[in-house]
Amino acid sequence: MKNTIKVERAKKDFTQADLAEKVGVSRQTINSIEKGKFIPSTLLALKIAHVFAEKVDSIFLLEKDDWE
Amino acid sequence: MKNSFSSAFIYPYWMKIFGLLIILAGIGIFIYRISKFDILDLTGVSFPLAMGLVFIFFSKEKDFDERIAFLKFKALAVAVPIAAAIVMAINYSQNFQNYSIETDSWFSISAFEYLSITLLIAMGWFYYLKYKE
Repeated sequence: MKNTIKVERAKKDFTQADLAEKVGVSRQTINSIEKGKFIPSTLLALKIAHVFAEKVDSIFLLEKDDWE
Repeated sequence: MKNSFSSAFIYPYWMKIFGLLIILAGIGIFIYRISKFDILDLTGVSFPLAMGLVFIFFSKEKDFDERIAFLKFKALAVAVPIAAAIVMAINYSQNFQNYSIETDSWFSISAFEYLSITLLIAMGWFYYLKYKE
């Protein structure tokens, strides 16, 4: 699964730490999600989408290998 | 959310100190028994060690969130089979060294020793994953 968090952060001029504080996780967690090392829960994905005022599926995008 | 994955870790951060105190008390008694009575009781010390490690491992971190909960679970999934293999290797190496089925009792590592080994491996692996990723 890929995501557009980095792009959305740049649009809003948020650092990883800013976003982490807004959704209540550590900066390392945001970093892991951005790099695709950690897939967030539905709750966290909804919170991230809410902060960016976007829909979840415009931030988190399924890839072909997610279906395998 | 009450039923989220990370809510499975119910002990607060300060329980780590409680766990550490249990371990220190156990080690203190272990050393006292060696020096005073010349008793080397590894099985005895494994109980406070295992309980202390349970409180340390299963309590929340200062920066606790769902990624930390996931890494702890991942570390535990690695540690359980490795610890089982270590325990089996120790048991078999002890039992097949000049072992007599007629006179010797079967050597077996206690459940608390197994738990201690598991949690030590899990903790080491967890901190490795936490700082690597």
